[in-house]
Amino acid sequence: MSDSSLISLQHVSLEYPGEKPGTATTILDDINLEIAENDIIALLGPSGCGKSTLVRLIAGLLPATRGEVRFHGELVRGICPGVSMVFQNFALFPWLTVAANVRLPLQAADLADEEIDRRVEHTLKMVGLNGLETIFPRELSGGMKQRVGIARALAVNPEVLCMDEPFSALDVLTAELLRNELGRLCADPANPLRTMISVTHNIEEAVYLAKRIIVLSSHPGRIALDLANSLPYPRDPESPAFREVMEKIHGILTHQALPEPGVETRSALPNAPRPLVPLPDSTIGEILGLTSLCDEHPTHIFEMADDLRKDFDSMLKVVRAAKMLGLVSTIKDKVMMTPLGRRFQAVDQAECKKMLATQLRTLGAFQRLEKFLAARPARSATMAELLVEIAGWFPKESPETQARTLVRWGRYTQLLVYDSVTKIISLPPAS
Amino acid sequence: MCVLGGLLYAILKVAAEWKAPFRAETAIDLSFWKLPLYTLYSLARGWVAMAFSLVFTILYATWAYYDDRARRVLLPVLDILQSIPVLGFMPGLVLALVSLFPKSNLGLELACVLMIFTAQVWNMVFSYYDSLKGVPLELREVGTICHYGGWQRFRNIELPFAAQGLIYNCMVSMAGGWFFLTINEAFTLGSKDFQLAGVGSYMSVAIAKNNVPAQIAAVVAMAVMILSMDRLVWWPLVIWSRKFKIEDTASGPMESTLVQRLLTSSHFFSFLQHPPHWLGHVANRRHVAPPRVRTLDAAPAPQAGPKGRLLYGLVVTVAVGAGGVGLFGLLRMLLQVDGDHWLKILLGLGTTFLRVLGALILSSLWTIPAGVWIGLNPKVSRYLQPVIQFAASFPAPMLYPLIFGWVLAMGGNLDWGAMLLMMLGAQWYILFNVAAGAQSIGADMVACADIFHLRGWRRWRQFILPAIFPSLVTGWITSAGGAWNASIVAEYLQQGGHTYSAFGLGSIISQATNAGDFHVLAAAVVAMAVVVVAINRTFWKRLQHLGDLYCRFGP
Repeated sequence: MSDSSLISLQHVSLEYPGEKPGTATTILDDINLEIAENDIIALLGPSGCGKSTLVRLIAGLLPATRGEVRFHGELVRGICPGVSMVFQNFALFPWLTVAANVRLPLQAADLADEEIDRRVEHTLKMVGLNGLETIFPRELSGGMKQRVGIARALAVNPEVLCMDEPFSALDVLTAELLRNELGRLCADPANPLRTMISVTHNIEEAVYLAKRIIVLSSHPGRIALDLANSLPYPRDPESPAFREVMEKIHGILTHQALPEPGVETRSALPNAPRPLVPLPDSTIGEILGLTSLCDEHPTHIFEMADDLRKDFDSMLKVVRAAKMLGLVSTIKDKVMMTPLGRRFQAVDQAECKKMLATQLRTLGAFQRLEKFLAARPARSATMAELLVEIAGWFPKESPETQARTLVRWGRYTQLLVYDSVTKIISLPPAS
Repeated sequence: MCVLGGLLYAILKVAAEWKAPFRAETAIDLSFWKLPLYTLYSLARGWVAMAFSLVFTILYATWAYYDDRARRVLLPVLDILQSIPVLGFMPGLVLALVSLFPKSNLGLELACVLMIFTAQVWNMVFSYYDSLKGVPLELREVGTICHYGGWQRFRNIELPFAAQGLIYNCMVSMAGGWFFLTINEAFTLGSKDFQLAGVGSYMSVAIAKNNVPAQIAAVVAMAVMILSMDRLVWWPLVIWSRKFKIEDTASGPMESTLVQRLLTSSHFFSFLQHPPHWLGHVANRRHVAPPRVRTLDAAPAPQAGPKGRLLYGLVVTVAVGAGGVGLFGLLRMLLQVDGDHWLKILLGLGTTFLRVLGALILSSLWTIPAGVWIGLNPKVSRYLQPVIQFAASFPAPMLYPLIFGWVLAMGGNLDWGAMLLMMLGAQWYILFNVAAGAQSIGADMVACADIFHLRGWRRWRQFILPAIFPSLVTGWITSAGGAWNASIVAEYLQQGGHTYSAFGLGSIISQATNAGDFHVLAAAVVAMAVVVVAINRTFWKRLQHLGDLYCRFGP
């Protein structure tokens, strides 16, 4: 632990206790993080990986179950002093004017009235909202509301600014505008703010704004990557250097989500026991749609995601799902259709379902499910029982998501019967 | 098998009672063994009233929805009707029905049923009307494409869509119907004493004879009835009605009943913004709002065809005629009340108003902190929910004698005690609404308050109180309505052979009913209705507007 670190997290874990004693969901596992002054950090990761939770932990809004959070070397209890936050959905108080909202955090500090007024005016000017002091939030657009949020967070001159997906709730154009302005603010030498942690799921935003990119993996959240980004400010997203950094990150993310052959080889024996791999949470529609968009030429997954305006991590999920079912194959970060996938394009609905059923039965998880149900009386089980069983197969995954995917895929291919009223899953009658 | 057999026996017993020769004063046997039978009779009346309420709801709301011109009259009329205390209906109903059926109990039973009906029906109509307005355009278009007639549209589109809201309101109305049970089953009208066998009259007699064990037994019987209905009837119905939910979100864990579900589900916090409308005293649509549906604007009401218009014209003429005659008669009655009485009524109005105000303020002092605590702590709300729901369903007037007994023992009198009694029934609304309001404060807002170091009184003043303000106003409105209604039973108590009365409008109404002084009764009832409606439309409406404008979180 270096002395210059502003905030340091050591072996920090966060768990939520489950319904029954002994079952706990681990959201964050063994996080070790040092945040130094002048660090501009982007926390990147798929949805649900705990990055919002992590930033709240850093701010002190959530207590860690294990581990220590230190600020300037001292243990933090409760809200971390010197930290301010910008929220995804703005979190403005609707009964206060713009100026009153910005004034709010200043009133808790022991400041003279003139000083408070001066700061309010200064920060509003900084975000371009001077002249709108007496307006209420309901009259503002999303972009303006977030500016107020940023002004409010900056008014207290925080040492560290935390931002939880600040541009997610804005439309694409406004987000772009605010991102540029924030970038300019960061690069401005007159700006006292030096340290910033921003949660985002947008890789381009991370590369654009941050000096340090931290990628979290999900279930449970762990730091998978801590990359330095030394591109000079101001950054140009079109420049080759920028693209190179993005490619690097894509490569790493793809490699994590789609491990190279060795784990996922299709064996010629469909009934050979398959390794137990958790299912990605995609729909059959997405998988078939993706297959139809691919062809025999390898395509960059990232480019495809960009064209489709799809989130990179949900794109990876669909690719992984299609790969598991043998419809596409991947090399590094490129994807292409397999001969089996080509056959899928040529057949009708009924045949398609049959072929999918065959593929589904090659998956380890599905084989286990069939075995489990076949051994039960009436070849059926309640959802609750299935969840317990699945929790045993995949201790690190969410049983509900796995069950939902299994049931979804199983129902589509008519390999499973599920009654949503009685919540009973069963195998169809043995024919 | 067992259940069916029991049900059959019950129906036969009740029918026998209704057919029995008319006895104005039924001898109520205070033995405990009679209590289940009496409870059964009361329950039967409640259900018959509920059936009437359902039919009336569907007819009235459908008419108001499909007919633009009628709507302009029907809705305000509904507003007024719900502001009239049940005792205002009582004399007319009783005398008319008893004279219609002089030989059997049927007339009296019907009168009692109709009085329960007046406590149940208003919020159901508002809710069903709201549901009709909220039917998504797509669903109606499907109906048009399939050439649905009126009945098919009702059965296949409107009823399923409204099912959830209707069931919740039925649940709430049922509870509200019990509030005046003690009066509905045993009352004095002029020189005549009317009594029906039931748990309400059992309680009345027990109170008159100062028989405390019997009173406690009645309370227990009432509690058992409420709890078993909750578990056996309402819960399964609510679960069943979930299949009519339009949004296809995965259903969460099985919530046990109404309040818990509502306190933990953001869909329905709007229900608690429009809370149990038990007492029918609030003019601002206090009812269960149907589920929020992501949809285009709801379809405009289709217009009636020419046959419909003729029928409508006929009905309107009859209704206006009848209404006109009634109004004229009422005015004549009012004019017969002399100045002295009017003065008394006005002073009583003022006094009761002060009591209502006091009850509101005192209730708020504890329910606001408690509600915020419950709303912000989901675990707490889960444990407390059954308790609070039960306490809120239980008809407070049944407990009045016990509580007033304590007040007397501590040297108090009814003038102050009445305020306490009025609080008892009314405070739950504030609690529910504040809890719902607190629960709907987003996690981000709380995080915001934490991060910007809002603590102590500043946190309350700048954050919590404004955030719950709209819910609080709703709670106040319903609570005030409940308190006005409760004043009728709270300001005039007859127990243990003594009569206690506090000066106030409620007391005047009770006494006029007892004395058979219908002119004064009419005047007092009109006065109360006018004042309540006036306050609702001016003061409360403005507060609500302010709340909606400044304190609503939204995208």
